Amino acid sequence: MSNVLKQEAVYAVTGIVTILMLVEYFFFADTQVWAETIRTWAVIIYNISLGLGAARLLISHSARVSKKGRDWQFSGLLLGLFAIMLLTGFAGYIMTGVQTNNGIYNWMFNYIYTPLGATLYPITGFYIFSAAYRAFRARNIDAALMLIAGCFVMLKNAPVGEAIWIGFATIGNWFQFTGQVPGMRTFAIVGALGLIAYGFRALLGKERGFYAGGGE
Amino acid sequence: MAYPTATLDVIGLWVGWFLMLMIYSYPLYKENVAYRAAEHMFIGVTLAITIITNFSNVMRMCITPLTQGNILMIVPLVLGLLMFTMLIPEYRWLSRYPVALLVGAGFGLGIRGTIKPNLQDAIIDTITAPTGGAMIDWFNYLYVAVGLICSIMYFMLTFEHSGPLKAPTRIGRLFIMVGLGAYFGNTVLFRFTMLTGRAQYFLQVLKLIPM
Repeated sequence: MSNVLKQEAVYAVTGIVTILMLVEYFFFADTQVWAETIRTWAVIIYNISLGLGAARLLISHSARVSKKGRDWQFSGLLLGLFAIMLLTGFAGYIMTGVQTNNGIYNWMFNYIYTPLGATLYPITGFYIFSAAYRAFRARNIDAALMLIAGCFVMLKNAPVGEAIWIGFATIGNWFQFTGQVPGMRTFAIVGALGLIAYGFRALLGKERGFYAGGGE
Repeated sequence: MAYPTATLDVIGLWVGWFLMLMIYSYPLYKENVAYRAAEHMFIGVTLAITIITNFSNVMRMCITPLTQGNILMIVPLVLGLLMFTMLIPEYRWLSRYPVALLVGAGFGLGIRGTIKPNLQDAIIDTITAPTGGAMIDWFNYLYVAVGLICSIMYFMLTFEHSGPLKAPTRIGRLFIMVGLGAYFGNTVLFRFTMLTGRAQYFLQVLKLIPM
């Protein structure tokens, strides 16, 4: 019985939900109400489950602070800012129904969160140049083709390219809108076939890695 | 946006400026205390924002309808809470149910969303001959058709790429390299454009260029 509840019933839920989504789209639009309900449930579960990640992170950092483990000061900083942001956000939410109706929350959002977010992602810009240098070296014909396509696309997009030679725009356009199509379309088709195959394996209960404990 | 005049906003601008320098101290120098402090600050603030946003989503989509009499909304609430059984080893298996629902919905939506654009439309676009008679259109048509067939053959990993498969798979690899080159070129420029935006912010805060 417990094995049925721990494994078979779980696979059945995955299968039924997957089939419902497919049936609604391809066969019976009448099932839309059911499918729509399941989709709303999925969004709610997803929103709640992100709290699990937050809980784990907070447990880990709190433990580090209480044990004065390695770099506990940083964990303390994390927890402190987290507490201020959370309390001010909830204060705004409870009083007005919108978390942004709080001056401290807004200040921290605009001057801590936004600049840090806008800074952390472009950090890869520093590394992408060295990566480009390594990738764009014509050591063989494959790398040479990559170099040519990459250079034309970059020179087409950068204003300096057209200033050097007007033809860069024409050739760069060809690479961007036609030259890369076979490769990118192949990735789309192969990826789609892979997703379908993986989906059907999950449907049949053969793919279980995403369940807690791997379905064992 | 003009340069702010309110004291708190000016302080905020400078705080953002220093945080930016703290982050960039890592790629420009090496990992250091300033970078790690900024990194932890970002995680703490992001975590709080995520929790508040998700909480308000759950309130709006689940709790409010539930209090208004939609009893069915108890199901996602219970399933969502079951996720937290992952923290209790002996009841961990219960968390498989919400995961199963999420995975099922994800696969269902993923499969149905991929069949038309990534398979059907891609094939139709490839086999539809150009309507105009220009040579370049026909060249492009043949380039894409031959390129796609050869590139897909390259991904046929159940057969060894030898004998009759050797030449087309080799050509397919070359088409893929052209595609990756163009894609990578775009990526390099995109990342650099974002970096330029940060450089602009750096100069704007110092009032070296207008905001």
